[in-house]
Amino acid sequence: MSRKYPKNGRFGEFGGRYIPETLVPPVEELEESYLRFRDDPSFKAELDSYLRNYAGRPTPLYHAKNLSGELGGAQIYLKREDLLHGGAHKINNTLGQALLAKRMGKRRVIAETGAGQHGVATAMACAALGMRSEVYMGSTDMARQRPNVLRMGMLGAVMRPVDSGSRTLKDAINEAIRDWIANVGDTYYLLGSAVGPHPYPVMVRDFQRVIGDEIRRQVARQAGGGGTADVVIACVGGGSNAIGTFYPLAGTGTRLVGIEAAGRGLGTGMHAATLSAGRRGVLHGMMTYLLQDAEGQITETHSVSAGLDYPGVGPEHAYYKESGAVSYRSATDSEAVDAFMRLTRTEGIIPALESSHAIAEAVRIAPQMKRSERIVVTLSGRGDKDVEEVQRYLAGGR
Amino acid sequence: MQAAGKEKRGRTAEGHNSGNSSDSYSSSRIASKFAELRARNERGLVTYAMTGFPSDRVSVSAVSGMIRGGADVIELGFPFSDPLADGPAIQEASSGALGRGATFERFLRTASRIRRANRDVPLVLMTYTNILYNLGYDRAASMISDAGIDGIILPDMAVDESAPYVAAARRCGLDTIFLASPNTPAGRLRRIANISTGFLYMVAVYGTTGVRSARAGGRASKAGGSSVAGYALDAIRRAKRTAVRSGARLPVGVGFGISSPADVRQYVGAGADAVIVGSAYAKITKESAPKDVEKNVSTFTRRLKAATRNAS
Repeated sequence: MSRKYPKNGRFGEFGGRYIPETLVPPVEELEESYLRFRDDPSFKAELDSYLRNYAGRPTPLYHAKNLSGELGGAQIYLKREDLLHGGAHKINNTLGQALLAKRMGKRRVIAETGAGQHGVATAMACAALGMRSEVYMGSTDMARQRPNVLRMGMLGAVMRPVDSGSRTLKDAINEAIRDWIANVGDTYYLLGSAVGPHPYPVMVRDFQRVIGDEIRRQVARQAGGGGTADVVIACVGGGSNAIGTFYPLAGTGTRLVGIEAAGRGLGTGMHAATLSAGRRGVLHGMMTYLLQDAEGQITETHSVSAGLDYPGVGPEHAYYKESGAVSYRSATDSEAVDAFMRLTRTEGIIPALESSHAIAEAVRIAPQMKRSERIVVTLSGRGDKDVEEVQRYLAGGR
Repeated sequence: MQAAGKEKRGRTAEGHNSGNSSDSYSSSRIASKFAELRARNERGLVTYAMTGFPSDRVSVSAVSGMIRGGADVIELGFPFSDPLADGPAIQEASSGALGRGATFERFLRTASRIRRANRDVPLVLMTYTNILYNLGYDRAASMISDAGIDGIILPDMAVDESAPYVAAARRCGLDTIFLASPNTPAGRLRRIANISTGFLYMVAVYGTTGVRSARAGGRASKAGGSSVAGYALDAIRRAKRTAVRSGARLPVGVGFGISSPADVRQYVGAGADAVIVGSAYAKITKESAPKDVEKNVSTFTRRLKAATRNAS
């Protein structure tokens, strides 16, 4: 896979910059600053120090022997992003972007959040760096992710509830973009996934690629003999943990599998499986796969996990799908909740519902693989935030 | 779809570059309208109606009121689920129209009806990129042109991504009206002016439609009960200087956050060739009883239009 910086922000035909004209100068300023600082030794050293001493990198690669034994097939390894400060991979990106915002002299940071993990990670990074943050969150998501709302408030973020549209992540992004249009001078928009206009998809990928880089090194060391993983699995909503996992591993011979949220089933229309069931279109500044109706109106999504509840997907995933570099499949709410309970029970690790979709795929394929084969699952976050949701789900039958 | 506006034009894909006469920018109804306004020493009033809001019928009444009140160009909105350049009034109109089952077919029927009743008024479609991308730009452009529409505005279409869209619009003789912003640098403003036909749409404020930003800086001049930011006035002057090619000048329209005759006078005084009013109409349409929409819209339009006449 090419390490090149994509020309015009395009991954094949995907990506680009479909934005109101007012945002063009700030997006260009962002790109320029990012390209300047990403190779700047003092920026890299500062980010590295925060990742190590504040966020807790590197994260372990854990051999889930009990789960592997119960399934009776391939050996399953978990990339423990759930152990990071804040409880998810999101901090990799928010530290990078908040440091960038600071170097750019921006005094105000805005962000969107779905499950609240990116909002929490933004609030943490901004608190650590002494910056102000404001977080847009759909009111539906605020109701189902109450603990994260409380955490953000305590961390000093100003909450901006969003009551438009479906009152979820997509609408929080719309509102954050509208805020940015009105405040281009002093405001930095800290986007949480590998979506949006160029350069966000590239920049977020670059801040998240530490996941895949570490997996490569750790598998070689732990598995011995310079070994590689046979299959690497990550969940895909907007796709930031997945692109960070896949990008350094693409073209190395490892089979890469992205798992989307099939909700109540792809046939029901109640899902968020953009790559599996969507079509090309333009939303949030990018050309990518979208869940839309025949008229090109964006449709509402459903997933038991708020973090996967998004009708678009990062443009680089759309490109990987079409080029065949990654296979994209899906797991239903029920498969994800089963996987959540199974990992909790066998390993004493409570995974985020988002990551549970990736675990579900490992549960599906491990029994058909040899005991000598290796699966790595990116465990993108921990599931403390989800215990109530899971209880509700189990109590409701489904 | 009936070919209500079929007879009008026929231009090449490079039409915006090739000519050197005053109508090289456009051979459409829009260009004729601006020529007519110039001859009368008057500025244009461009008004916006969200089709299907609060219903197809009432939105047609609103357009009739605009035309009766003296609007020079009518923008017909087609709703998108995620209107990220729009403020609350047009967001609400969009979701209202979608809630009542707005489809592009219905939009085209409505536009054709308006065209049949009004042969000469320029009609411009305003929607978002995904609606036209979803249809295919070529198919979309011919449907739009067949309905008698003269031009298109897509607030999320940056010039950098616009080649296939512009080519399709040119093939059907549709004007492509691009937006520029007060923070658009000189070189980019030139590119936007070069690819725009009909008129150039200068955004007056840092913000979405209907919203005025207090935070974004810029001096506000408070004369005449209006509050027009100094940066907006500078932007109009800059756009007027830039939008000149081969001795011809592309008209500059100014929009976003304009809602009163006092605002109109300010922008006209600053040299705008046209002012564009949208959200204020969405509010009037929403707050009026359906039977009063045409009358109320026409009264409001007459007041705005008067402010475009006694200019400079």
